Amino acid sequence: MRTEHEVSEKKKHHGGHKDREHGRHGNHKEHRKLKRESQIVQIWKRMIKNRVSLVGCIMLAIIFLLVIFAPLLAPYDPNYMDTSALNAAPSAKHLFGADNLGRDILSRLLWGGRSSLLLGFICAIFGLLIGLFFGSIVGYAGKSVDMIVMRLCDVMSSIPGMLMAILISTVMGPGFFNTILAMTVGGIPNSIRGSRAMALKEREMEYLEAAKAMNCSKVKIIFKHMVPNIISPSIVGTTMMIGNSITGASSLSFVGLGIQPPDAEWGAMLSGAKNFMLQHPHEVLFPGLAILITVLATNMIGDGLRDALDPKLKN
Amino acid sequence: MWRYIAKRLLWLVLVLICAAVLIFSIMWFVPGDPAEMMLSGVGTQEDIARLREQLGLNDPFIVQLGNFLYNAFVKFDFGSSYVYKTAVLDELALRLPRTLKLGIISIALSSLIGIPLGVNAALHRNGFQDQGLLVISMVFVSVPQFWLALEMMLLFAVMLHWLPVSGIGTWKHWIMPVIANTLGSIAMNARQARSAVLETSRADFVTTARAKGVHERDVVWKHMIPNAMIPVINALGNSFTAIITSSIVIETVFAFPGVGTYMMSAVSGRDYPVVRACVLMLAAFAAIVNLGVDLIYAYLDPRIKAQYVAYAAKKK
Amino acid sequence: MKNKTKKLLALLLALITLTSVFAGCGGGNGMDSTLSNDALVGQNDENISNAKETGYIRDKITVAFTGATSLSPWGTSNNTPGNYEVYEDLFEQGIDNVTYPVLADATRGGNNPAGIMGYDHEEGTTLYTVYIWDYIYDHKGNHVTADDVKFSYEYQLANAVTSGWEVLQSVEVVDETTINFTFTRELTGLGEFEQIFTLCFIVDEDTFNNSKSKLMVEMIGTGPYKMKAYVPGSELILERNENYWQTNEEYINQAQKANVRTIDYKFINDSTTRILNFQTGEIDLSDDIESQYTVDFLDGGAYGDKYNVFTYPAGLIMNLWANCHPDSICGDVNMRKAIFYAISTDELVAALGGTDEPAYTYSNNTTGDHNDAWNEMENYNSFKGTPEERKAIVDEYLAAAGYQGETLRLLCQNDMTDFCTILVTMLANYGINAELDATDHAGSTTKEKDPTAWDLEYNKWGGNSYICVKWLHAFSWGNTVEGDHTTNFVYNKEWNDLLTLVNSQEGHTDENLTRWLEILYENAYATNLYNTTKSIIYPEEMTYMYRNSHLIILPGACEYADPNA
Repeated sequence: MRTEHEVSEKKKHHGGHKDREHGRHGNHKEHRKLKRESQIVQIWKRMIKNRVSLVGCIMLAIIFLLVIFAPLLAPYDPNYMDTSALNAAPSAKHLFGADNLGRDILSRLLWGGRSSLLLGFICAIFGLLIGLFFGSIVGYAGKSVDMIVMRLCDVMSSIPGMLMAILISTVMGPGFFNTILAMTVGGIPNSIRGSRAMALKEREMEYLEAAKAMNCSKVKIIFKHMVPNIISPSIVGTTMMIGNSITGASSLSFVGLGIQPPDAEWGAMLSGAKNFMLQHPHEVLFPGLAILITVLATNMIGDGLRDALDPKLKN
Repeated sequence: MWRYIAKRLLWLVLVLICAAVLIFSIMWFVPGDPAEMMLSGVGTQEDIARLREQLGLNDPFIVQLGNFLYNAFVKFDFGSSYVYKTAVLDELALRLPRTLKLGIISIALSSLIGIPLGVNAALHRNGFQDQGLLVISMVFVSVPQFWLALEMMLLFAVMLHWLPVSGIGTWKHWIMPVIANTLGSIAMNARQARSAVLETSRADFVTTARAKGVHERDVVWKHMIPNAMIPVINALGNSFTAIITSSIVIETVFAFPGVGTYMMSAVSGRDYPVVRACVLMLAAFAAIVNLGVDLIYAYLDPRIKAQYVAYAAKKK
Repeated sequence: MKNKTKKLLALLLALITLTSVFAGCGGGNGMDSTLSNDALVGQNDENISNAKETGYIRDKITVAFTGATSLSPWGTSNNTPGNYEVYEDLFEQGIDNVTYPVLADATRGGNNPAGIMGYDHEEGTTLYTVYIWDYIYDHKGNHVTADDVKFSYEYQLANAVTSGWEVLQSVEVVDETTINFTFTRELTGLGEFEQIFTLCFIVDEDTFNNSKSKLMVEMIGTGPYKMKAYVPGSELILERNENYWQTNEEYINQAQKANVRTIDYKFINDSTTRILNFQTGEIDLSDDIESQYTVDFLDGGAYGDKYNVFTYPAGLIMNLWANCHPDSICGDVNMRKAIFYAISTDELVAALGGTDEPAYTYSNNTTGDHNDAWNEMENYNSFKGTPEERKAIVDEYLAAAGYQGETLRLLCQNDMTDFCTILVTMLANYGINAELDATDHAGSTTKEKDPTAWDLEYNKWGGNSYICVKWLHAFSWGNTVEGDHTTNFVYNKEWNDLLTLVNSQEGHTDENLTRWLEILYENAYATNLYNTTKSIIYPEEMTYMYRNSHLIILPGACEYADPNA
């Protein structure tokens, strides 16, 4: 794809020689900007064509809107305890029913969605950044750096991710930021491995050789040239991470760590409701469905992105 | 080849030692005093102080770490649980087989069901098997496992009375935990298998085989599928780790007396020996399984095998 | 692939099973110590309070019990499941608080101020001479003699938590059936006799030494039941002892009966799972069920015809106390009073669904030394004014304290967050900002020690003892390392001395108890939030429920109707 574009762009410039001498860098930049823009547009177009990812995008968009406009949409204050409606079943007054303290579940879902979604996205983005940073350095640098970092990764991933998250949560205590820390640390080895694998593949590419030949500093090579090109596949992994983070954080809350009630986060709602599951199953049903739908949406989008980014699947 | 295996085993031990240090250090920072937990409400402050001394909790970090590493790796003695007062290994000898049984059954089921489903979907691309699988697997991959477990318990145990609620005893007690553990991985494996087969179907050697006039059935079963299995087997190793970790939460939901519940109660009870032992056990098994998978992967894929052989030869 | 992995795993499994190292050391684990209880705990089901022998032996009963950590019989706070069915003490006490001899010989002794058979004690001395039957055999067939009594007492003293045993000086064997107990002083304190003589299970020394696990994973006692199977973390199965040593019907107390052939203790920790198990018929009996879950089991409910519910006051003090250290904002008594006035026990009970009772004083009527007059004392606990009146008082104290809207930190344990959320909201209604700080048990015991880390804490004080003992548990200076203040940083020496006084035989007067409460309320150290109840769900066929003085149900001692009759 890269090669095709460069050729077609160069063909367009009729003043061949001069341009090639002058603004070699200038054209490069414009090239890349144009390249990437139309790349993004192309990817977007392909995603829309794919029915599954289209549905996913729409679902996620709806969820986002609902959650962003929670203050306007929520019928009640999420912490308001209506003592006459303890454990109320779904009715006209409380569309999704009320929990054991009389708080409206729909309102809590909307407000809590902010925490849950924020949690998912922050964990995924942190994971992406850290993975890209270390993975690309490791992938590009020499064998010894590679070995050391990989062994460190092995040690960290020898303790399974959930376990790590549980341990860190116990040390740091419950809470929003501590949960982000716990989930991110649990996911670091995998994101580093992923970025490293891609960096290893990219290493052999010609444009990097060219940059090296031009005496670009290693740092520049890695971050200015290589990373932008391995971001796209990483983004697929990142969207999957969003779903994992949301589910993982709610698992943590469920076992008593992570985010605790009275915060309205979806996992915390499940944790609080499990004692009343028998007589009032609606308290467990709705938060679970919320998590399911959100994670489903992100996974659909991730799938669609992957298909859209894979050139071999163009037809 | 054997040099490679020996080298990897050595790395394994080293990694485990580092993991032991890691887990020890993490537990060091957890606030809370085990002696106080054990005697809370009953013993006086002197009792608590005496107990701390007895358990060696007043020794400096290095001393405690050294003792732990020595006992664990040289004497294979993980000490006694602070809460249960019995040797940790005894308890683990009972619980680990249960958790592993759960894990192995889950993996076996998820491979036996998932992979054929995925292959089938890939072979009938865009047919109803494919579309159906995509949708269903999407849902099962996205569903939070513990929530699914809760809903299953509500449906099958409480409303229908078909299955027992919790604990172990008969084979019926195992059904729900296994299903809860497996559904996600079946979906995962199916998708993996499907995309692996699709990738392979575009590979050059397949086109070549077809060009050579090989029968389509042979193209699929003799050339495509075996090659497609390689990345799938690789992923199975990760599956195992994932299943072991997810079983921690599943065990809590079903009150299944395995390593997961043992560890969770130990974490809240600040029962350090138990936490360390459980984590090390799980880490050891995960590492061994991964090593096994890597070796099988290497054995099956002649390209990688050649690489290792060449690498070993170079080292000489 | 699967084969290779399986082989590797099998190998490792074998390796690990081979490396079993036993390192058992004795010791029960801690819980509230229990003393004798004068009060008759309310029984609201007449059927189960009158023992009427039915003569029917039930086949099996499955009981839900909190998971055991080991089967050790040791410790004055021993809570091993089935301990009172498998093991026996020298003396035991029923729920009516009458002490009677079990292993002690009921045909000898009796020369003591209490008039209990089985031991001699001359008033004013420190010597207690106990006589035991000469035909006691344990489940292994070993003869239990005075040497074994000495062994059991000395072992428990050296290896387990024995609260109140500092007064025990020596245990000497006189002859095969006579033992001399010497103390540092006469046992005149409340329940001191019972603390020594009803809280030590007698184990045969040879049996103990021959037990590979030293009775950690097996139970071998003298009682009417013996252990059949034990699956750690899962269940304990007991079966009727057909060779029970006491064959003389006259001396078999109800507690020593074996009216069920098999008792199956299933270890289930939380109420919801127990309810699930009731609904599927997997368990028959359970104590410790939170009352709100029992709705379906009452008569008329979905399961009302198969089970009955017995609800009793839990006797817990639901304690909210303030950090009285100067470093905390609650160090100012006006702040404390403002906070405690802002919480209305009646409102709290309503917010909890109305199944609980309000609490108007720092005591409850499940204890023998409770005085209803305390409910009428004028303080924040008993205040019954209108919300406007309340607000006026709260505002007055807030002004006196100079409250600027700072946020108070309410410390509690994880399973109490719902309740504490209600507290926080109630405080907010009166203009006091509070935030919740929930941790697990270990975390809260650590945080408590730091006077700058918390301002309010919610916890519960239980155990079935006199109220002064519950107060002692909560406010003893021995709870802190420095020993010169309470856990919530009260340095009031007069108050502490008074607490010690009311816990002695002579000082345990209504006057002193009232004075202690007055000081508590004057200085606003703490408040009792509400009174909760617990429920027992038992099968319809149970016509009589036997509970001993520690409120532990002995399934073998209960009476059952013949379902086919």
